[in-house]
Order: sequence, then structure tokens, then C-alpha cells
Amino acid sequence: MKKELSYATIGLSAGLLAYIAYCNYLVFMVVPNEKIMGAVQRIFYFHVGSATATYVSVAILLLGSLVYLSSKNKDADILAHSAAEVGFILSTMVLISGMIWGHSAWNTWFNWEPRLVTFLLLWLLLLAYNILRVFSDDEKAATHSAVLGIFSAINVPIVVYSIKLLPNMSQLHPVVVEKQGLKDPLFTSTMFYCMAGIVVLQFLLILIRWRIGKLEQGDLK
Amino acid sequence: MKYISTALTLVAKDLMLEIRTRAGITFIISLSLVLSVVLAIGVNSAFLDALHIQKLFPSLMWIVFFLTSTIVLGKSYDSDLENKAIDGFILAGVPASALYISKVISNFFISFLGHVVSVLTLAVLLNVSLSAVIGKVIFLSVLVILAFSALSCITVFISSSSKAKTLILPLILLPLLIPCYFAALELSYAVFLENELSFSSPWVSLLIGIEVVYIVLGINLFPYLIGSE
Repeated sequence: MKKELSYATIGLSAGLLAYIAYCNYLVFMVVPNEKIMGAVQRIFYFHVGSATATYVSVAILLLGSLVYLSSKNKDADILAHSAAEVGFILSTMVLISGMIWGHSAWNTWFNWEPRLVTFLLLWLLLLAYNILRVFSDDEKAATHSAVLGIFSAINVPIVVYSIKLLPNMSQLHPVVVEKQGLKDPLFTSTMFYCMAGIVVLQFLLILIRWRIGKLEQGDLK
Repeated sequence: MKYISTALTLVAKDLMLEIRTRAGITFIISLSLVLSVVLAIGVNSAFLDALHIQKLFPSLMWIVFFLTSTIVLGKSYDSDLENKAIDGFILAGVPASALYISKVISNFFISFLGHVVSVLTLAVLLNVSLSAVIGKVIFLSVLVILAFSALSCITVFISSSSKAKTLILPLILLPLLIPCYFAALELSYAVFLENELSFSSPWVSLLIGIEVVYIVLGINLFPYLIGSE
């Protein structure tokens, strides 16, 4: 693989930027204000896409970790590391956008409900993974991080299940979202367009970070 | 049979080392005492009534346990990593999974000892009666501490070989323990407030499930950590 970005990657990036610009146009110029929450509801389009992309990042982290442990393929290790970094940024965006939305719409920065708590813990796990990568001994960083990545990814469904068992856990997300009238097709289609854009952006960021990792190792000429 | 006797021999080695040096035992008892006293002072200063203290007791009990065990067990691999003793075990033909199981068992005993001290100290200082619930508390503690030991043996090893080992361990271990913490709290509330511990409770199933997942993962991934795979 060459050090310089291929024309295909540059073309894809330009196309993605144009698509994201179109999504922003839809969000801010086309979709009307939601009747109860008003303009603040528009943060939803970035929030949901970031959440979906975070879960995809964790899946890539798990896959990369498993492949690395079984084959000692350094590319898989770099991929897992890249996915963890991008996933951490995305989960930070989810938490911050969620808190801004929650405070503006329902006057609460944080509610102890399943999805919020799950994301908070996912954010902590990705933070731990990234800190471990920074402070690990170079020879063992890849193996130890792969093991931690596997534990973290497998812990996510356990956390989701355990939170659902908790008593008095109110479901802030779906009940309020349905009651606020987001069944309008325009809202739903914009949400899916934005979600697709953020997920593809996530793949692009992981690819760029992966190439940086390969450059650091001197594997690109 | 040979596998079991190997694992038990390693457990005996760890416990004998602990009895001779008394390092882990001393620190876990002392730290449990100190932390229990500090928390009891905080609760006492709030002038809460007996019912509120009883509601708070499970949280305090488990916070002391998780913090003290995380700090003390952070040193549990030091003697094995010194002079590459673990490499010696592998060269001697000891299965890596037996090493892991033995560490889980020996760390379980040390953590349990610290937990007993902290529960008794908190109960005495906060005037919480344990007589009616002692059996249930012991059963619950065994489940939680086993899950903790299974997970901590992996994360302690991961942190042992990093540059900031004592600082990294809580960052890695505590988020992974959250489901276990939820289960410990909910079951403890049921025990202390309603004197109930149902074996059919989903929390008991969750704890057992967590133990199975962590032990299976630990057995399969520990060989990669020590470099024998």
C-alpha cells in the first residue's frame, strides 16, 4: 500500500463531505421544527447517528481484537486501536449531545435510564482501552489491549441486560420520542440519511487512523 | 485429576506465601478498616435515621470492598512476575489456565477476608444488625467476590505490565465491574431491607452468568496474556 492516499479514497472523502453537507441542509433548512421541543430537537439527527456509529466501532474493536489474538496480524491490532479511538470520540459526542438535548427538552442533564447508563459505561470502557494503549509496554500493548477489547465488547450486552433489570428505570427515549410526534416521514427519513452519513464518516475516520498507524510502523512506502 | 491437583498446589503456594509475608492480608484488613471508618464518619455526620442508614449500608459495604480489593489485589502478580517466575511455570508444563484458576481462588480468599472485616466494622460503627441476615450476606458475598476475582485476575495482569500499573488498574477494572455492582446492590437491598434472597431472582442468575462468562473468557484468554499461545 502506498503512503499517498489513492484517488478512490480522496473521491470517497469528497463525496462524503458533499453528502454530509446535504444532510445538514436537510436538518437545518428542510425539516420543520418539532411541535413540542422546537429547534433543539434537531440535535437528535446527530445524536442517533453517533450512537449507531459507536456500536459499529465497538463491533470493529471486538473483531480486530479477536483476529489479532488468533493470527497476530498487526493490521488487525491497528484496526482495533483505530476503532477504539474513533468510538471514544463518537461516544463522547453521544453523551454531550444527549445531555444538551435532555437539559433543553426535559430540564435534566442526566437520567438513570438504560441507554444513557449503557453509553456512560461504554465511554468509560473505551477511555480505559485508550489509556491502556498509551501507557502499555510496547511489546505487550497489542495483546493486552486485545484482551481488554474483548472483555469490554462482551461486557456491553451484560450491562444492557443488567440495567433493564433495575427497578424504577424510566425509559426516557422511546416513550417521549413517540409522544412528541416523530412519526412524520420527513423526520424519519432525515434521521436515516444522517445516520448513514455518520456511519460512513466513522469508517473513513477509522481508515485514516489505520493508515496513520501503518505509517507509524513504517509499513507504508 | 492432575489439572486439579496442579491448580490446588498453586493455590497452596499463593496462600502459603501470603501467610509467610502477610503483605496482602495486612493491607486488605487495614485498608478495609480505615475506609470503613472514614465512610462511617461521613454517614454519622449526616445524622441519618436508622432506616436510612440501613438503606445506605449495602452501597457502603460494596464501595469499601471494590476499592480495597482493587488496590490490594493490584499487587497479586508481583511475586509471579519477579524474575520471570511465570515463564518458569510454563516451562515446567503448568497449564496457563491452571495458573489463572489458582489466582482466582487465592484472590477470592484474600478479598473475602477484607470484606468480612469491612462488613463487621461498618455494622458495628453504624449499628446495623447482621444476625438475621448473616447467612444470606455470606452467600451473596461469595457470588459477588467470585465474579470480582474472575475479572480482576485478568485486569490485574494487564495492568501489571504497564508503565502506570497502580493507576491504570481502577480505570480498567471498575467500569467492567458495573453489572456485578448493580447485582450486588440490588441483592443486598433485598437482604437488608426485606430479609429476602430468592435463588430464582434474575440478579442471582445474572451474577452466576457473569461468573461463567468471565471465567470462561479468563481461561481462554489468559494463555495469550502470559505469552504461552
